[in-house]
Amino acid sequence: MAPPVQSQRSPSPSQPSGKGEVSDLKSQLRQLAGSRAPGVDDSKRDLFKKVISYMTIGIDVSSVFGEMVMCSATADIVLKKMCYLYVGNYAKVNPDLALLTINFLQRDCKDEDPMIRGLALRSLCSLRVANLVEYLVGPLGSGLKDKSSYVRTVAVMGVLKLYHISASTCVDADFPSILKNMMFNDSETQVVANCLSALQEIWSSEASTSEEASREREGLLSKTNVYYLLNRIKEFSEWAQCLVLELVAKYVPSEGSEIFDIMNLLEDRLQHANGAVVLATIKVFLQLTLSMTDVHQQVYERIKAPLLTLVSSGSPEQSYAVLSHLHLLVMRAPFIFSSDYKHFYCQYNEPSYVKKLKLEMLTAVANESNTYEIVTELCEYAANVDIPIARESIRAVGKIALQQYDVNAIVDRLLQFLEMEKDYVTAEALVLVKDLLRKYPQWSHDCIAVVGNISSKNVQEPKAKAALIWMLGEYSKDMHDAPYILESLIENWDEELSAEVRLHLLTAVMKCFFKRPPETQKALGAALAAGLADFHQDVHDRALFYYRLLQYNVSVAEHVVNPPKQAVSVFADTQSSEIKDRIFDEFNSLSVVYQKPSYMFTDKEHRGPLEFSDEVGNISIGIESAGTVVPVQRVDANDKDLLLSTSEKEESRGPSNNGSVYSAPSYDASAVTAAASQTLLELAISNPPVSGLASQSSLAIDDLLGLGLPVEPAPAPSPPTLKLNSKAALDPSTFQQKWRQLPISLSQEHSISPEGVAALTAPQALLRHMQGHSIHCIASGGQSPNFKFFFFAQKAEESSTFLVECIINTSSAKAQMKIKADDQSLSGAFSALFQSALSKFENMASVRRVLLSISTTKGLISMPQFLLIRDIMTIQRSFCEKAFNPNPLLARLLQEPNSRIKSALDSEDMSALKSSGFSWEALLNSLRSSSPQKTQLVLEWRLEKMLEENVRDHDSFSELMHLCGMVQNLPLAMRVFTSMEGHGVRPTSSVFNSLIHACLSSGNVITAQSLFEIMEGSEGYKPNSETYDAFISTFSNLGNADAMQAWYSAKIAAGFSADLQTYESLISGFVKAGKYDCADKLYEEMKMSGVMPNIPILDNMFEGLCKRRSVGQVKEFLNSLLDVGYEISALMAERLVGLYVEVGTVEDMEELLMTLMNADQVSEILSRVHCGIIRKYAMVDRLDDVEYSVGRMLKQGLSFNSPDDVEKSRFIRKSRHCDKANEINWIVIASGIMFKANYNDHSFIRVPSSVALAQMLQIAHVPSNPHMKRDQVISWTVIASGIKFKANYYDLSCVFERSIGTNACKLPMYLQTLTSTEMKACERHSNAPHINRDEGI
Amino acid sequence: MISQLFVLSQRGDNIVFRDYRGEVQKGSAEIFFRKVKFWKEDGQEEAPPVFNVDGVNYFHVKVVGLLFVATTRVNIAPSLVLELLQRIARVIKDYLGILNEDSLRKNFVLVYELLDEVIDFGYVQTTSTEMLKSYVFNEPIVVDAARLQSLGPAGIFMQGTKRMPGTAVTKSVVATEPGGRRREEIFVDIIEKISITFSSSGYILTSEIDGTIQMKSYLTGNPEIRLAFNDDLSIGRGGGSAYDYRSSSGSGAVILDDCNFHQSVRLDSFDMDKTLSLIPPDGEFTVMNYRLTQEFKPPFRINPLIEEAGALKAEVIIKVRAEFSSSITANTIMVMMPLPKYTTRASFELEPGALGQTTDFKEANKRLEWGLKKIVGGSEHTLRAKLTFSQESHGNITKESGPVSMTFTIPMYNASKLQVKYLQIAKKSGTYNPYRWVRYVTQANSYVARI
Repeated sequence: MAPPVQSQRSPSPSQPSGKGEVSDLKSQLRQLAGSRAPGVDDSKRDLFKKVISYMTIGIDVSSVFGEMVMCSATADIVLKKMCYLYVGNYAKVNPDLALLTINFLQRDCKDEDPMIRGLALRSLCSLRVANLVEYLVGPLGSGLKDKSSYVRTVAVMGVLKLYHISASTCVDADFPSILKNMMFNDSETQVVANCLSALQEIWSSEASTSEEASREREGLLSKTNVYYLLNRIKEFSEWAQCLVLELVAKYVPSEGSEIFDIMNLLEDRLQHANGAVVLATIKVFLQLTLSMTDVHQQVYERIKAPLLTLVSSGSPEQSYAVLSHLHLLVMRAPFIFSSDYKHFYCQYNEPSYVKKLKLEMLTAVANESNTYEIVTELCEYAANVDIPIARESIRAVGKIALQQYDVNAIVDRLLQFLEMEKDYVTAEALVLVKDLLRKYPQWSHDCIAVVGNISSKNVQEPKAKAALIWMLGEYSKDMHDAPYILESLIENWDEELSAEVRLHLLTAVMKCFFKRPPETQKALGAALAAGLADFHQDVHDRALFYYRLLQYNVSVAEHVVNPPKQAVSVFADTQSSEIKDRIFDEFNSLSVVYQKPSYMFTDKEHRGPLEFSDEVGNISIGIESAGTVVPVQRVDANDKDLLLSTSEKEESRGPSNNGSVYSAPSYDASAVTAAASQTLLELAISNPPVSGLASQSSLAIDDLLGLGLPVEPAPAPSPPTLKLNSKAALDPSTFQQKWRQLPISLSQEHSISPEGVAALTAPQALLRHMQGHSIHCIASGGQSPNFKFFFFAQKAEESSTFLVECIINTSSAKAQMKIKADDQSLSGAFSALFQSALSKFENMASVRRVLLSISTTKGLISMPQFLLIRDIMTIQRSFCEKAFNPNPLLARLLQEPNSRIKSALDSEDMSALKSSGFSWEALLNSLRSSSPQKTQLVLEWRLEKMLEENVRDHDSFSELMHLCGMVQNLPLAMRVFTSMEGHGVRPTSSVFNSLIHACLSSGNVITAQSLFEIMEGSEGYKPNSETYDAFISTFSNLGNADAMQAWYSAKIAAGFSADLQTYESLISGFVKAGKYDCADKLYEEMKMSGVMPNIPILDNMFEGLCKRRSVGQVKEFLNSLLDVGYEISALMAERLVGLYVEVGTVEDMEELLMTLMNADQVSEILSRVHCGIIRKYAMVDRLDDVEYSVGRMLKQGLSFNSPDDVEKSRFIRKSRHCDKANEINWIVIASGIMFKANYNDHSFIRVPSSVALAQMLQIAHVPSNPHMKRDQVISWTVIASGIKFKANYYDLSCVFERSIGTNACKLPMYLQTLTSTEMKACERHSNAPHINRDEGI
Repeated sequence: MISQLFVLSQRGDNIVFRDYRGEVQKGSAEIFFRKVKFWKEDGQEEAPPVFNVDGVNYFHVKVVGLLFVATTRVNIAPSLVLELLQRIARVIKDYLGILNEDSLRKNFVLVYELLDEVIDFGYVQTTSTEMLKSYVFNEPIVVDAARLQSLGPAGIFMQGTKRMPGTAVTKSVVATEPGGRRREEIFVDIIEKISITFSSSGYILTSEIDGTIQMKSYLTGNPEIRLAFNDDLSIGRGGGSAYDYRSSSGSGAVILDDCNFHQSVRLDSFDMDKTLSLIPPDGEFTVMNYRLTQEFKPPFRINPLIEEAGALKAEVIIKVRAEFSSSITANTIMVMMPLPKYTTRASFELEPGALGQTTDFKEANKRLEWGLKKIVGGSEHTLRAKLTFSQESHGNITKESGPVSMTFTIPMYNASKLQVKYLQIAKKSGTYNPYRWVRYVTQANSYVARI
């Protein structure tokens, strides 16, 4: 993760800080504006350069816009160009001033010099100001007809720019058809190319609304057009060639001979030195020949050499782009490249992103003839200094082994890896050996011998450890020590951090038990005990499962855990062939580099939402695994034939062993719906007899986990007579066509339960579920809260089709359905079916979530909307308010290393820790900021302590969980909970509340909800008011007003009344979500019920009012607050002043000031109001009043609060009274500097007028000012440097005198920066006998 | 469509920043720089040249330490953008004479002029140095060539011996020279990069030459040029594997596996007399890239040896033999070898009387480095190093060290034997006799010997 943005980078010499320089420039520009003196152009050039260099580095120089425009009246073309550049950059933020430039641009558009005409036209179109479009049409029209081709190329682009500013103006002026005409007739190829680019963009964007435009877009791909461009292709520049080739790649020739004509014509493009041209040509070749197997293969052969040449010439970046494409081709047709494997050997100095690609390619091309050499080469990399690459290489060897038939030599190599004694090599090799054994059980003997020699202590990585344990369990018969190794691993159960390893350990010890019962019995007992006490839900569940299975029937258990296995023939591929095909379709684009189809990384706005267009092709069908989704037949079958070696693998991966590890013969795949989560799936697969025990499977699982869930509600009444075809198929274009043609036969709304909503955060599950009900998804999309799905279904044994558009809004928990049907009469029945399927999904979802959620937090937390929640107010408030008293224990803990934390705590005096004065919250909170790991250790220590002391009081546990929640450590909270249960302490509502707090504070809303459900279903610990409050407050913080309100209603419905806390959360939530009326209503309700508002509520109400910009109401509210003697907070003052400055009048503000002064508010608040007034005066250009107000404020002993205030107040740029404004600026600045502000800000010290200086001196001498003494020396420095800038040495020496007078021992540091001449000048004027430069230090 | 184009200094400052379409937020340069700088937490992996952050695609190429970056939101062809960035760098260099941070900062207005014409509203217009000439009005401020990094392999000619004038890479195409008249000259550089992997027993496992012919012309009036190569040159190995050495060894013919050409190159008479004809555009450009995998004589033989010498000790001996004619001298040679992780110390012993050689043991990545200023053809040099370990090696010492890699530059030498027989300029008048420079250089790309 990258570190946070540095808000202010230290200015380097070449990057000036800004403000002062800009105003300097402004005045210099102004001086030059009217001048006609010789050489003035040169000085202008220098100034312009400065302006542009500021612009480049990001300093805002928009304030000199007027001056720049004034200076632009020049014949000097260099100046003109700089000016155009500037204007183009800032016109958008200065639309009014931009109008000034129109004149000279229009004039230049008629200049004699075509260069100037072109430049002016380009700049004119680049202004991007909507209200100037009327000025564009004329010049563009004549530009398109200009005799200079340069002007015409510019004008064509100008049309496109105009289209982006105002599409209607562009279309109305008929520019598209002019461009179309030019495209066919212009002699200049660049004009033609630009026309093509512009028309493609315009018509694509118009196509969604206009039939004609979409016809025109099709027309670009017409034979005449394509041939016209192809015949001229060599006249085009290399870049324009790419453009044309991109178009040709989409062309579909009507007859076979065309294909060869085009290819012959483009043949020599493959020898172009520009890689972009070559790749674009290759795309054409590949696309044209897709349906011609033999030729397609010849194309692969033909493009091989040019691609390899491109990879090895050019910069590393260019070769990476080409290599990515080569990678794609190699993965599609490995056998074509199998003799070129040496090209994919890694070079030691290549970047790792290149090496990774090459390793994958080596893996893919390995076959009988080259495997030996490739593996030898890969083994060299395994010893590489670059560890990630070394690991990848070992994995590559393993993959090759898994795809080959003759693996003798490779197995030997892998076993050699195991003996290398490098921990990461061993780890990777172990994982591979495990996979290998699953595919080639016949190697077990050799492998076991070597694996047996590996000490489990040397294996630390979870994956490797899990692999080792799997082998121990699986081959415990042949491995003499297996039970004992497992036993020692179980002894160290608590030290094993990875849940994956613990799961494997459980299974392995079970397997071992069935093979060697007497030796394993003890270990099994220990493992089950440890597993049952495990805080990880999966581990706990599996232990419980095994335990009950053993209780039920040992032989069944053996059958479940240790069934006879068949070797795995093919491992599942990670990327579906559908996605691979999509990427191939997007050849020569970023999709290839990212290895993702474009819909996965492109913004919506840059591809239409849910568009079916072939070009964009973003139908997102359930991405997870191809097996569960009907594959859409997009690639021509012939292509498949060619690419046999890849397709073969995919085809052999049938649904029966998809995703599953063993193909268990007695298991009926349809017994469990496809919607089951992976955990469920895994459980189900490894226990066929259970799922075979008739239809009680879901009940059995419920019972098994002892969760006492309600039995699923009976399916929707009156089972529909409609039967659907489970293997329905429909391709996207037919769907689209039907959707257009059919009328809507039914439109319904259906509300979804909160469980369903939560489950929708992973829409794939829904798709799989619906498919289980023979309703197939053809497209899906959307982001929270709106999801959109298109489904289709077919009636069994009939071709009658149903189409559904289903829009689900998760925040309102509503689903809208539009159903279209071939046979309208059936749509009602179908709708019932659809809804019942949907509601089953919801029920399914809740069961599934409970099974899943409690500890698989990792996956869920990654959902974006939960990421945002970091600080949960309710929890944080509790400790923020407590004063922090420095704590010796804290200091000690901060110093101790992690390993010694627990012993440090042990040595502390227990009584002190238990006394009421000691706050764990404060301690943890402080500790957390420096080391989160230490907080975990401290909490763990407390847990251990409590267990040791056998504390049976659930409040202590509850408190501990609460603390875990505070530091957002959910896993630990869970552990506390399970330890508590394991300890025999019954949970209570408050314990659950703490746990829910912990979930919410770590952002895991889903788990919190499932906990809530558990509470609801329980007897002893029903949710209480606090439980509801926790949710309300969380959603309030999230700004999710709907969910918050839902929880509030639930609370009321559960018979609890709202209290202060509830109101606070609700009101703040409503205000946050902008639902002010609701907030108002609630506030009234609260007052009615006699609850007194607290400060946060008032703050929030106030914020709400301010946001509504109603000064009257604010005033009223404020007065009511002041009447009861309420002190307004700084935040409120800030809002108040902000509001007034924005919408109020000065008089209002003066009145406010009086009110506040009368109400005796603190000075900080008052000074804010003062600043506001000053700002307001400054805004309306009432300078005298500004001066007066500043004076008044200073007199009251108040000052600016921050440099920001100063900055805002001195902003009087627009003032007509320039000098006066400057002076006041300086007073403001000076007083700001004197009192508080930033003395180092050198931009403040330029050019004060002498009057301002006098003022500053005066202020500096206000004797009553308490702030003065401290910073006097610095303030003198500031003044002095200001004077120095003016080179007024007399004043300077005066200042020195005075400063010496006040603080003689410390001369301003500033003296150091004076040059010797300046020093002399000072001395001459000074009465001081001698100013020594070095004395200051 | 390119949205923005900017050039960043090594420290991440914007030197030029051009927004063409206003669809990517302003802070993109910062976002980009942070991402590149902290690609992986451990800093081990380099950022790839193309990546996507929040829907914005960032492309970058590194040229002389500067980052040339383009952004876009659409799914564009990556090679087009990367090629373009490289080309923009080259065009800028053509105009400024020298491309580095200093020259770019001094001439940023000129660079803006170029960028304005190269891309309009995100679409490439032209990258031809010649065509751009008529749109550029700023005079380049040529910076001092004294301490600059080179752009590409042609930079080797900077050293400016008598036979190779150093001006060639530092001359701007537009700046007027102090003498007033521009010197009529043309440079043809044949640059070859060698990749070789030797097995531990000294056999060549893989070898490849990646060559490029670059041209830079300062001729007025764009005369046609003919470039003739060896008679026995041929392109494309008829069928068979690219690594089938038998077909070519002994015959002496130069057979290129494949090559590609600049757009201006005409191949009409190539088959007959091995001649290319072209009208060279202004500025530097690549006439031809070629690739060759036929057997060739490697310029250096490396003999590495590592032997245990006691429980916690080992000795490394590296011999390097230059197998080219004694009239040729290789320079800036560096030999590197990773040593076992548990190496704590290395003491070196050079052959007696060795001059201009440096040795170093890089503690951080446990690497031995041996630098030689020059190696004369036919000579042999040896390095001995005594290593001390912190733990026993268990006989795995060869697996934990190596491979030995080598970098070098050999001017006036080319491994492929591709020759430019003559360089003919279509004459305009009798007095017209421009200077012609044909220069060769060979560099190591990946020169590796396994142990």
